Amino acid sequence: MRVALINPRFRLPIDTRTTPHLGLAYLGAISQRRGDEVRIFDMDVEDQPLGDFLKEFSPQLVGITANTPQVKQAWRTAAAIKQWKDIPIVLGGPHVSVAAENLDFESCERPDVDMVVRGEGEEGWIEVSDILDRCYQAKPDLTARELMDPRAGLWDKILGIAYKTSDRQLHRTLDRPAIADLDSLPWPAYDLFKMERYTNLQPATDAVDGSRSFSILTSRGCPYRCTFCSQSIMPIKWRARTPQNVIAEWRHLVEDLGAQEIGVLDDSANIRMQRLQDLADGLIENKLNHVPWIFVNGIRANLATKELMTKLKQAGLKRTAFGVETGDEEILASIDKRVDHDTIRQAFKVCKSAGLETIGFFIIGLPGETRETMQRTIDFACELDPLIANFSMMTPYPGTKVYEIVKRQGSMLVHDWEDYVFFDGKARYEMGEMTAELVETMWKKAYRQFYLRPHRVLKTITRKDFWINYRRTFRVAWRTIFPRKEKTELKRAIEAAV
Amino acid sequence: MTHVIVDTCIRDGACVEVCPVECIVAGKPEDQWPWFYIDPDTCIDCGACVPECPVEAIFPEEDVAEEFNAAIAINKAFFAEGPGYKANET
Repeated sequence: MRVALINPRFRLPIDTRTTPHLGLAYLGAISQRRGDEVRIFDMDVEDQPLGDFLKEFSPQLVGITANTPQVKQAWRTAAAIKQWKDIPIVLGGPHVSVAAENLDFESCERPDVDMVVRGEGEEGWIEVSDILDRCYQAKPDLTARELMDPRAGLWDKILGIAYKTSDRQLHRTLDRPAIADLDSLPWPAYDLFKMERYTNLQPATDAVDGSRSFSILTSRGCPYRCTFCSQSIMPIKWRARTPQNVIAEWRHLVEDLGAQEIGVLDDSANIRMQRLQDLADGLIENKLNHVPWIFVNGIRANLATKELMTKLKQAGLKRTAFGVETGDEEILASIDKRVDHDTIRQAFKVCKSAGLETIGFFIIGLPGETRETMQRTIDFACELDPLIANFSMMTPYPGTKVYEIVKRQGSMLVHDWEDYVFFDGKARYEMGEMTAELVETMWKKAYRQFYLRPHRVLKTITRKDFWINYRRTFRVAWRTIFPRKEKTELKRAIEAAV
Repeated sequence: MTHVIVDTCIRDGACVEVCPVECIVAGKPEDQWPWFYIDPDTCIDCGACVPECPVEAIFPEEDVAEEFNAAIAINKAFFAEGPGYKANET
């Protein structure tokens, strides 16, 4: 069966880095293992028009991924495909997985979307593919309308999906349990991507864009339930690959694909510290520690011991991030982060003494914040003084506790999924005394106060990669100062003009 | 920091399923170790087990009520002196 996996174009108000979509890379791999002919069409880097791609490849099944700001692009892509031919179109990704807010049905209600696979997609995707393949073998020219005929009853046994039958009725099956054995999954299929077209995810070295940078997942999930985090839509059970399985893939990335840097994308890599110690030992023993790697999404500060971080440094770890979130004790307790500031201080100290670079993720505008609490966050960032401080505007994503709180007690300021981005300097909601103006002022102050300290300015301009990538650096700075207009803002302007 | 199971535990077992580090063990023999126990050296204090407990018998160590204080030492003793993880094998 011919299977196309599509990443719709991500329209963002600022320039960001592009990296192969790991979710599609896993789906591509599992479809290849099933025996399908697979193509990945990443509209972020593709220059071929979609219509030409469809005519050339003629897929029989299309999967489209979407996070919240991407979902409308996914619907537009689905519409363009259906104009070409009535083949089954399946959406997946975090946005459509929020069944509690009926966001699976929201997509299924679109005329051009046939089905949604919620949560971890691999097993559901293969079951859908198996059924379709059998149907196509019996009748190769079946249309989606025929496949979604309620009398056929093809889909009701597949867990974790929502779908629309041709009588326009919506259906939802029970949630699928999390994949227990991650070692059973194939490695991501990077051969399906035009790797030379991507930038590196988060430059860890002085290598210029286009360097061979790869991502890896050594575990999935997070047992913590921070109120702002979209991980809460995923199963609470944290699962890990064995160190042996991870090392085998790591060797493949380094030796077969020529990886120059590796980004570990786990949500909580250090839940079992012994596993990471074993992984580090394995990387050292197998002489894979010469390629620098980083924890892109952060690790738990309460589980970052000196022994562990020193061992990881020996294993090639160059940089790690921590989700610090806030400098205020009460706000920190209110977001269920289950960590305290002294523990965070200790984690940064341990990493710096081990010779590791650090990133701090901070949030401006959490529920209950005041000017004083936000100032404490900025001051705490300066005290920790990571190499990179990232200040995000609190964006209440559907499925999170903060989203529920804002819906109940505040007022959302964005009314278009495409504006749900958190790094663009625009407040997303107001609540109580926390006005948009205050949050936006403090967000700008955070960047100014942190990065315009004399020693920081000096540190930045003396970094080699700052000058190697100077064209991109200035382009990003320009877009950050002058972002593209958002959809909500454009709509208001059009309404005012009318 | 760790979580602690107190003596109102009814051996439901839902907590075991969600524990990401598999540090909750059913006490055996039951007459001697009548509850489930949390290994304080392995617990990462994530709290995943708390909402699963049907009788609210799991608490962060610092929040354990005075009447249940003995449970802190008993959880520890199950792993230090009692059968600990070996109970999973019987």
